[in-house]
Amino acid sequence: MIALLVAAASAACPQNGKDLPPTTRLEIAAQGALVTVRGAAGAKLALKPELDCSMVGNVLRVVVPDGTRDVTADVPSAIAVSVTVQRGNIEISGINGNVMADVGAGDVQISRVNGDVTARSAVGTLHLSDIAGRIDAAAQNNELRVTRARGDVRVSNVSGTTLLEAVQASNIMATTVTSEIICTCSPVGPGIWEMRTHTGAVRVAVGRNVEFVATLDAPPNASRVDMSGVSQQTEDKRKVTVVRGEGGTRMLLSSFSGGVFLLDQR
Amino acid sequence: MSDELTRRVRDALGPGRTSQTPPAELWSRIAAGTSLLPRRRFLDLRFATTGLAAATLLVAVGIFVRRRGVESPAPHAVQVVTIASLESIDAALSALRRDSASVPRVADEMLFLARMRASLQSDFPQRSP
Repeated sequence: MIALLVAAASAACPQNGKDLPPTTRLEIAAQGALVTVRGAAGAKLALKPELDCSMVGNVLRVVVPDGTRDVTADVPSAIAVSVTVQRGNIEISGINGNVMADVGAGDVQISRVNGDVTARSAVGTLHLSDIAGRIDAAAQNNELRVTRARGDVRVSNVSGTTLLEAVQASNIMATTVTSEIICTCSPVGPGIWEMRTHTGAVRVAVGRNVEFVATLDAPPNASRVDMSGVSQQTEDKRKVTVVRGEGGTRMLLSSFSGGVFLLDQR
Repeated sequence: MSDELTRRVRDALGPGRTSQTPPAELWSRIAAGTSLLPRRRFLDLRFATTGLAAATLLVAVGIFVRRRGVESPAPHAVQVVTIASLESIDAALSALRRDSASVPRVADEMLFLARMRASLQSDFPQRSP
C-alpha cells in the first residue's frame, strides 16, 4: 500500500492544475498512444491520466509510459507544443505557439494553430486545417491534406495524394514522386508556387481575378489550361507559359511523365 | 569393453548357442546378468540433456516472439516504408539513366529526384526502436 502511494505521488506532474507561462514548450513523447493536446485561452494544465513530468527551463517534458493508450493534455493556448509518437495518433488543436507533431506509424490531425506547424507521418495521414503560420509537412504513402492555411507552405509526399484546399499563401512548395497534387489556392502577394511530381499529376485551380505567370511543364499534349482571360505561349514540346494580368504569382507546375492542369476556381 | 565386463556378458549368455536367439532376449539376459546397463544410463542422461536444451530453446523463442509482438512494430514499419520510398525513387532514377542524361530536361529531372531522396532522408531520419 505504501509503495503504491509513493508510486502515485511520484507519478504526478507538479505543474498539473497550474498556469503555464506563454513561453512554455510542452513536449510529449510516447511509444504507442493516442495523444490529444487541446489549447484554450486561460486554461490550466490538465494531464489525463496523471503522468510524471519534468520542467527544464521553459520546456515541460512528459514521457508517456508504454502501455498508456490515451493521453489528453488541456493547455493554455499561448504555449508551444511538440508531440512525438512511434505508433498511434496525434491530435492537436487551439494552439497559438508553434506546433511540431511527428508520428512513425499513425495519423496526425492539427487544427486551429496560429504558429508554425511542422508535421511528419511515415505511415499515416496528415490533416492540417486552419493554420495561420508556416507549414512544413511530409508524408510518404498516405494522404496529406492542408485546409485553410495562410502562411507559406512546404509539403512533400512520395506516393500519397497531396491536397491543398483554400490555401492562401505567397509561397508554396509541393512535391511528390508518383502521386497527385491538387491545389485550390489563392496568392496573398507576389511569390513562387512550385508544384512538381515525377509521374503523377498536378492540378491547380485559382480564382478568376488572380494574376499570375505560370509555366506548365509536361509531356506533349499532357497540359491543359481551362481558364478565362489568359494568354498562352508554347515554348517547346513540353512547356507552355500562361499569363493573366501583369506580374503576380510565379507558378512552376511540372510533371515529368504525367499531366498538368490549370483551371479557374468555380 | 573391459575383460571383466566381457566375462560377465559371457556368463549371462550362458553356454548355449546365441545365433538363433532373438536379439531382444539376448539383450534382456545381458541386462539381467550384468545389471550394469551402461548404455541405457548414457541414453537417459543424453535425453535429459537434450530435453533440457530443447525446453530452454523453446522458452527463449517464446520470450523473443512475445517481446517482438508486444514491443513496437512501428519502427520496423517505418523503416520498411522509408526503404520502399527510397527504392521507388532509385528505380525512377535508374529508368532515367537509360535515357540520355545529356538532355537538359532529363538531367533536371534526375536532380529533382535526387533532391526528393535527400529530402526524404532528412524528413524521416532512422530512429532507434
